[in-house]
Amino acid sequence: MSSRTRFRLVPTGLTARSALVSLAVAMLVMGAMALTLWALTRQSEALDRLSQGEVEHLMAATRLLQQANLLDQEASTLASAAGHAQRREAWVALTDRLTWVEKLVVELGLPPEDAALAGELAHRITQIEENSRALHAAVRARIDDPASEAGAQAVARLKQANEAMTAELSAQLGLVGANSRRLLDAQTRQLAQDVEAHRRTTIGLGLALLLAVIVAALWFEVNVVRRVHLLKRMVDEGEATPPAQTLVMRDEISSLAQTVGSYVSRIRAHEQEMRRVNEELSFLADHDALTQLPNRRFFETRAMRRAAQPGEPWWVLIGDIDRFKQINDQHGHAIGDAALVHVAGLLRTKLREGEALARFGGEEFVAVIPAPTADAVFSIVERVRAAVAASPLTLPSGERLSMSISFGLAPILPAPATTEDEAAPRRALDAALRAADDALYVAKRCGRNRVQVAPQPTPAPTPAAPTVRGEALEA
Amino acid sequence: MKPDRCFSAWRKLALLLCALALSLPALAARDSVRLGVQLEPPLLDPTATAAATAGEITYANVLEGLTVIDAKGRVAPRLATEWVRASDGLSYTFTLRRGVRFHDGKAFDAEVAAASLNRIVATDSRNPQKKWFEKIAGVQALGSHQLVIGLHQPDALLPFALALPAAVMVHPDTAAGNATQPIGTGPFKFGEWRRGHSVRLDRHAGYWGKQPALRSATFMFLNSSAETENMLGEGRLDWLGSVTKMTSSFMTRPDYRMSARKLESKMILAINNARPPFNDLRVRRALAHAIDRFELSTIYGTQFKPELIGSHFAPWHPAYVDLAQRYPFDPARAKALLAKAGVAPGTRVALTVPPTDYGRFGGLKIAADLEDVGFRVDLVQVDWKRWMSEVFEKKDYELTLILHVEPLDLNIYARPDYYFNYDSAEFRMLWERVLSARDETELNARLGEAQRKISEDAVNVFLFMRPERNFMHKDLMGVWEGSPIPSFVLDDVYWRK
Repeated sequence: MSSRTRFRLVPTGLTARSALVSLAVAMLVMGAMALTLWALTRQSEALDRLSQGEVEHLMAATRLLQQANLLDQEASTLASAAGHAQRREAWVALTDRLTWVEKLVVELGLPPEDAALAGELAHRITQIEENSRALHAAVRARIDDPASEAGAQAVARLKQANEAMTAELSAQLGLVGANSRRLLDAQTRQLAQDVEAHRRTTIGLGLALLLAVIVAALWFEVNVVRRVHLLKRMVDEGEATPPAQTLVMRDEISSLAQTVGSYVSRIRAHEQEMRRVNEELSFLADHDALTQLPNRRFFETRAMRRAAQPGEPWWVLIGDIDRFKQINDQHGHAIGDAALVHVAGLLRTKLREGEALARFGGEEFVAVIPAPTADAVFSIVERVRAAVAASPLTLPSGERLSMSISFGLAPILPAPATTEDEAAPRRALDAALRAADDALYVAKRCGRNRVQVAPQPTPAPTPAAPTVRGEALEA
Repeated sequence: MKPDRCFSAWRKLALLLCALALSLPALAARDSVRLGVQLEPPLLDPTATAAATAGEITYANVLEGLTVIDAKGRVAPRLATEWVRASDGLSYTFTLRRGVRFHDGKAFDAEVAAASLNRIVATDSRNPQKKWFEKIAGVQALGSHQLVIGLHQPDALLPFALALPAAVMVHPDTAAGNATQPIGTGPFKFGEWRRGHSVRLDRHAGYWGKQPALRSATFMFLNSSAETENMLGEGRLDWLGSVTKMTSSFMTRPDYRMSARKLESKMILAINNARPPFNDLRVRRALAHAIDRFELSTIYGTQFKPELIGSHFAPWHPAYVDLAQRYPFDPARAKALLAKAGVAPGTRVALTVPPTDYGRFGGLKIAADLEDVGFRVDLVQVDWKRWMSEVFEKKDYELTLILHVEPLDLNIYARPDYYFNYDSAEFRMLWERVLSARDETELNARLGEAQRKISEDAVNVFLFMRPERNFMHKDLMGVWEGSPIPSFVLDDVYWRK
């Protein structure tokens, strides 16, 4: 059977399904975390780019602007140099600054879309360089020939040109700075948007995750917990048929349900069996196995109950099969038993159910009969005696064995109304049994196959002066 | 949110980011360091160029020699663990360190070491310090980790010479590529060379020795004084190895400190001895009298009192002979000598200066001094590559202001093809005597003679010892301050927390 297989590669088992569901949830969680990590990494990278890239860029642009402005000052110093030493000094300072400005422009690292701007900047600087060189030469010439008008004019003209060029350069650099600032703004805004988007995604993911967890929990509830509850109810209520819900999926629970069902059936069967056995035992406790008649103990209980009822007086009947020992000796115990059963059967038919017929032991039977008078009960029992005498037992050999039974009868004397003694009914019954037994003895003595009623007790004599001291007269 | 309120919110964020960015470099710099150097070397291989900056960047960081000059200026083992000098002094046996690999994974062994050394002494070798190894007769590998160096004559300075940047160990397969991508055995490997900008070195995980604390180091090339000033001012440099005109004004900043360097940087006005009128001894002596060296030495500010020199030798060396006043400042005397030599007033002379602080501002003062004695000076500012090629290699110059940083480099005067074009058989003989000195006393005496000779011949105008200081962030620790090798060794450098 598939439920017995130990290793199942096909994921239809509960473990596998639960694992799958858990895995799905776990993967959702991991996915969410991975997404968060990715977003955070991206944002941290963006921040890095911002700080290393954009901010640096802005600072470079600002630095460059500063230096470009200083260029003009240095050109002025050069232009106003009076001697060669001053000229040289100014020239060294100017070229030094120009060298750095050039380097700064290269390092500015403008993006490809600003290639035109970068080109323009480089061009302007080259222009300034050339102009400065010309200025330098003009200044040198002027120092060598201070009187020359043309020389002085040349210097003035070149200086003006330099001023103009430097101003244009500054303007251009201002633009670079502004662009940089704008770029920084844009990137910052982008970053903020990213963060916001991620925030929303995280919330969404959180909700999705919550939903997934709820769904998983529901699935678990429906497919596992509820079915287990049904299983429990099955056991509690002893249902042998598994409820449909437990069988809806082929897995450990469904196979468990089937197993539980089969157990429950077995238990029920066992219970039935036990009840039956119990009943049998109970019967046997109160009845004679052979004749199926109630036994003595049972009789006494029933008899007392009968006798306690108001109404007609009850009579105790004891019957004894005649010459039973002879039958046993002559024909064996098996026939003896058969005879007993036979007589029991006859008595049963002739006596009513309410008369508590019982086997009193050995070959004796007992019953209690309600009758108004001794004559009434005598005629009832006489008929029974006659019936037995008229029904011989057919032996296996075919021989017919005639049988007879003697009866003794005695009334159960009612307890005096005044007493509340619980043992009184018992005593009354015992007394009646003793009296019936005595009557039976008389019947046997008188030739068997007859009914003898115990003599009635005479009414208590009026209290004349007793001649006998304290002894009750016995009838 | 109203649009303008929205915008101002972005402004605030931008400002915050700016503040963050300004502090970020400071935060981020804790396992890296930005070093300022004025001259960008033409190549990164110190075995192929005399430009000291090549060694400054790579010495002990990327490329290592058999020995090294340590933080205290002493010869120490590096790729060789020990060495034994034969009793007759004619050979050294070096035991090499095991488990050493180049950055590309190739193994370092005696074969590689021998090849490296043979490369230095080969006839077609372009090694700038070839002279130091003239006494080597042969180099042989003895097994995998033993090297025997045979000498023509005893050379007590050999272990020192092997510690020079020009004697670093290279692998024959990659030696040619070291000019642009040096591959060595050091704790750092070559990262990137942005021409005109910087060289970056990155920590090498497979180094044979102790892992350095720093993850990377960037050598930034400062090609203008304006830039140097700005970088220092904005704190964008963690170390500057040379004193500049503005150093004194930065000395008061509490976040930086200065410490002495043991470099032997001799500032000289080099003269092309082969070019008229400078082939005339009188003209050269006139130049020496014309320069006001003391005034010149104040370009670094009054805190520094650089020692004037009269020859190509460091004053703190025991063999030093004080010749500083051999040619005292005397413009009148200079003019007289020039007149005697037939140099007419107004004679044009070109003074070539490198793109350094001293080049710019020292050059100005010298030009002024020369003009005071009648010359007409063209101050020619060139970039380092041009200086190396035109002045150093092609010897196409008249006068140049330059710093010689190698220790004990008097031997350059024994090379007739050196850029001074000083060809003196007498000096060469004197130098031979120096090399064959038997003991220290003799050595010092002979070195003294050599110094006097070049002073007498006024080969160059010897100006002063440039004050050498480490100028660095106060939290930068472990700098090898006592090394006479122009270098920035990253071995022990770390940031104090």
